[in-house]
Amino acid sequence: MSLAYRVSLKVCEVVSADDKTVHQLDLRDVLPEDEMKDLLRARLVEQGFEEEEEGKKLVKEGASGEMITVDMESLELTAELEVEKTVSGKVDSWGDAETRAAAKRQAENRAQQQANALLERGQKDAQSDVSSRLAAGESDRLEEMNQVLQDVYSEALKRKARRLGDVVEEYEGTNEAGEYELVIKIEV
Amino acid sequence: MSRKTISDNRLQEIAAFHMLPFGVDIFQNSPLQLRHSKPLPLGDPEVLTREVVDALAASIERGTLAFLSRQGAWQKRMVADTGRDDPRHNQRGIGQEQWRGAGRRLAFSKHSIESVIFAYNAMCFASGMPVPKTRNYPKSVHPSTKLNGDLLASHIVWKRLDDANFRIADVALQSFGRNPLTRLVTLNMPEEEDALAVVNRLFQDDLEPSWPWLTKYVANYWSYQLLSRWESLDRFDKLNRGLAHFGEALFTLAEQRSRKDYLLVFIEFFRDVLAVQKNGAEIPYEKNQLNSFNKIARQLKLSERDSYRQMWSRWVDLCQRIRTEYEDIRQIHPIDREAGDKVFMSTYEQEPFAEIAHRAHVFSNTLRGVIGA
Repeated sequence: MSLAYRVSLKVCEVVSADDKTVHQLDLRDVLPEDEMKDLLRARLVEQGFEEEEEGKKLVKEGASGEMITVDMESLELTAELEVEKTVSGKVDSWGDAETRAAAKRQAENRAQQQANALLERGQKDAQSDVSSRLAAGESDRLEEMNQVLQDVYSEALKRKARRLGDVVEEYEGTNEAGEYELVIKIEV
Repeated sequence: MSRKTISDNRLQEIAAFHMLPFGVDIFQNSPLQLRHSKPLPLGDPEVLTREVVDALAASIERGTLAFLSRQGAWQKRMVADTGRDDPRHNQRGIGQEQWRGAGRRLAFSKHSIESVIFAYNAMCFASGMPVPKTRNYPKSVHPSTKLNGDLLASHIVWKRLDDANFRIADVALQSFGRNPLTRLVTLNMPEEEDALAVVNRLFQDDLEPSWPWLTKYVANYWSYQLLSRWESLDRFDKLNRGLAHFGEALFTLAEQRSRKDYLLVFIEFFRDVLAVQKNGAEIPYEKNQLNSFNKIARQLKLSERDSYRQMWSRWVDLCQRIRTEYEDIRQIHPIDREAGDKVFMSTYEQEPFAEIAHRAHVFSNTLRGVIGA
């Protein structure tokens, strides 16, 4: 005769997942490098970034809760997201053996395996969620940063023009193709 | 007659009537045929008669030279030397005289003969012969690559086995894997040191006459290899690593020796790879590549995908470096240019390269996630 043994296990554990994207900002030297970086810093502050580590880094929280960092030395833009998620559930399993002890062992092993599988699934879901959220905000972040760089170049070119001579005409707008256009005429 | 003598006679017969025809075939251009034959012991000169050794040595030497000639190596060399395609030199040489003309000799040793016997045994085992456990049938040999001829011959033997339409045991193919030329074409250079070793051996003076051949052969082989990189992330990464490591090592060596002509392989390669666009593909090549990557990497974290793309961009970047090297040479007065510079320039100018380099630059920026470029 075989004996049955049932084990019920409540699972409640916190799993964490993280992901990040890194982009390189290409900041050309229209003006001396330090001046270009100052322009960039000022523009980022206007966009809501805050200075950290004595201005070496500028950070702000993005729409999806990600931490956006611009490293002013390496000019790297990093978006990092970390989440913690509570995985909870209940697993039921049965053991069936000749003795009570063997049936219990079998039931416990099966319950543990099911609990591990539940946690693993939870971890995967959390990871997938983090990556999806980060990826979803990617185009907005890039658009914002392209706009920041455009503003920096625009200001840099205006300054450079003023240094080269007297500005007699300045036009800033969008052409028929929807591209930003800046025309500065100077008298040397 | 002793038992040992009878056995040696039988083995000599096998060598003469089975192994030798295989040894001739393996250096021909026709598909390798699977034959049911008995294997021979390795490292045992008694099993080969003088006649078999001479015939096999002749086959190896002639076959190796013919293999190089099939890629138009000598013609390319003439063009490289003279800077123009001279129709009087259009015949393809297949003798040692072409090698001697370059002040070198293609040298072979018993290691090449052993390679052929090893390949023959691999074919025997592929045909169903049981693999013996005696020490006379080692599972692997490590073909010598000290002599230029041995290096080329053992690579050819590997290639013919790899191309064979019957299944050769992986362990047999791997035995040839230490050959630097085999490592190069299969891009098996996971570490920077591997690439340095390959570059240092293949760009030694004793192999110089083969460089024009090497350029075309390797570039073609890489293009073919890249087709298989979407099979898995491991394969994708292995090929990218190999290309990046080799490219960086080669650029360093070319710089150290002031030999820009070493870089011709990358001109050929990028033309092969990025000229796909010419065939009227509907989806731009770069976009197609990114789509394929996203498919095999969809399970990865974004940060992991970034590191795979970074490694990928390292060899794509080399295309722009080729263009920079060309622009640098143009700044040198023609009288002061080295012979290697001239060969590099003429190859670069044969077909437009600037557009390819620009596309590669843009693509590399995409892979590295550059904003504002």
